[in-house]
Amino acid sequence: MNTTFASILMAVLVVPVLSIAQPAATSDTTKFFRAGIEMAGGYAYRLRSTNTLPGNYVRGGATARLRLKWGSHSVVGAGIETGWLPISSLSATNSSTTLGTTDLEASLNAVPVLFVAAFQRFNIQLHVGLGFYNVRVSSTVFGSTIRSSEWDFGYMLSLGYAYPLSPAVKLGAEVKWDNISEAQISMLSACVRVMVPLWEW
Amino acid sequence: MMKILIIPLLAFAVLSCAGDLTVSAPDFGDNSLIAQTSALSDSSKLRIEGIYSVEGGEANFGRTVVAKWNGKFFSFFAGTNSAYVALQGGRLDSTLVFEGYWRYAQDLNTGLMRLRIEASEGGRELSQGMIPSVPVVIRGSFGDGSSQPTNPIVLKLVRPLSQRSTPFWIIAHRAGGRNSDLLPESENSLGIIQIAEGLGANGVEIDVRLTQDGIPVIYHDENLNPRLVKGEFCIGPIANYTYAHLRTLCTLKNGEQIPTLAEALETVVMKTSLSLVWLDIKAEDAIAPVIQLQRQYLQLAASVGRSVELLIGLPSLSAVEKYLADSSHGTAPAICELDLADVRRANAVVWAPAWTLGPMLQKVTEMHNEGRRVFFWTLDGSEFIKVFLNQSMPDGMVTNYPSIVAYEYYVR
Repeated sequence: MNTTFASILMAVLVVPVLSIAQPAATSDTTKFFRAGIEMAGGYAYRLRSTNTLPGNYVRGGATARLRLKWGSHSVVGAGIETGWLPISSLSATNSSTTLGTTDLEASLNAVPVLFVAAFQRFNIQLHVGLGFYNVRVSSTVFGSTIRSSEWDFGYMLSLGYAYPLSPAVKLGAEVKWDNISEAQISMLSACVRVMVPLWEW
Repeated sequence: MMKILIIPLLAFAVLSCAGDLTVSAPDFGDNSLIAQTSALSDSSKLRIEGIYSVEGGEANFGRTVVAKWNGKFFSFFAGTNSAYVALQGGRLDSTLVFEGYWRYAQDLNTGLMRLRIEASEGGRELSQGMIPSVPVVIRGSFGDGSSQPTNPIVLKLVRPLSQRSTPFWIIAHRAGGRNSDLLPESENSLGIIQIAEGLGANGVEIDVRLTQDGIPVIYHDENLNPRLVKGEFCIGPIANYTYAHLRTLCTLKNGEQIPTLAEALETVVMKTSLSLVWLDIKAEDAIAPVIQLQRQYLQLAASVGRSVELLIGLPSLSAVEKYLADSSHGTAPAICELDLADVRRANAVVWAPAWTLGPMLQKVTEMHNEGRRVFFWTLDGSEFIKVFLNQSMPDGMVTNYPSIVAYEYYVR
């Protein structure tokens, strides 16, 4: 997925939710719990690349994440998280192989489905996620394209800061480490994020 | 707050940095003497085989070892530390010279070994293919890692190996051994097929899967994964990949190409003395093309005077059905893992039960009475290997540690 597509995806995700969520949001301090949505977009970088193939190799790319979270106003929360995590891509022309010369295109990405635990103090949030990543590959060699995927166990750790723009909406940044341990894929992401409450009780 | 953040970060960082570990087989390089030697005759090789006492290396190899030629390898199998020694040898004037490496099968210890049979200790007669007039003594040294061998060792022939009327098949799992045992070649590779005999095997079990475009390849797991392959764009079922994609994007763990079954069988026939291949069918659609390759490579073996059995593995009822549905099955010898009725229905030449079912002497005897052989899979521990050798009289065993089976079988 390229940067343009990620930007469009972010716009599609963020704008409607902001417009829907804002009227419902309150700053009612008599309510102890809330459910909210967080959207993040930024850049992900693959740590410890294993690629040995020649060509134009790109580690990571534009990433987008969506997190549905619920919990107390104060310290702890829980949620689920998904998104789009580009891992790497490769393109090469006239690549020499044991079967002859070929143009080569390949891309690897993942869709996380994580259960997330959240801890918050002084507008700083620590998130720990555990779950599975749908790791998907698409590759073209000798004019033939294949697609393949698998579900791999992995976990995520992120540290973020959120600044309240209004009683309802917070804007912040987040550094995130995803480790898809089963596939030995490790990613570091830096994202801008928006947090919008949906319900409070 | 800082501790809360730092501890999990450090833990995750350590976990994510776990590297790949491999153990290469040390060699003498430019210091090797083997290139200067002449080949030994088959009769000389036979006269060196036997049970030897060990002096000087007891802590590493125990007091007794089995010495056996397997193909181009002269190997020792020890009852201590699961140690084995894979050597190559030849004659240098009236002296026999052997060089290679030792390894503990179940851990990382390895080193160089160089041995000699001096002219006065049997070398003179053996180099001429004659019966030695004195007890054979092998002297030399072994070392640690790739350092030159300096620890002295003396091996004295106690008795020759018992000659049995029927061979016993020691079948190396995954074409020779698993990646988890950190062998110098990847599992299910052409390289490991070529070293399987040095580990003690006279047969190999190889795993057959089918690519998207119908090419039988040898690979164990359903999915491409970091345990078995390298290649950033190798994810998901191997059946999703064409042969061209596999060759272009993926290699085995130690960098080898994922072999086609044809390449594997060609290697067995032309580059080894292995006498049996168990074609473990992991994808039932592979049965028809595998039967064709079986016929083709049996013909090749016959044309070069090689005696080798290529057996179609039938691990499930549906595999038996596919096998029986193939019009050529009558001339395609098979090995069946199911119960006796299915073995008979498929007319398999070998029954291959899991060892977890127990020794089952009565069923083994039934199969023997019908002229079928019995191979148990997959036996790795010496205690269990001894139990099965003594209580069920099988014709062979599949193992991840051929050296352990070889020791237990030949030392009896």
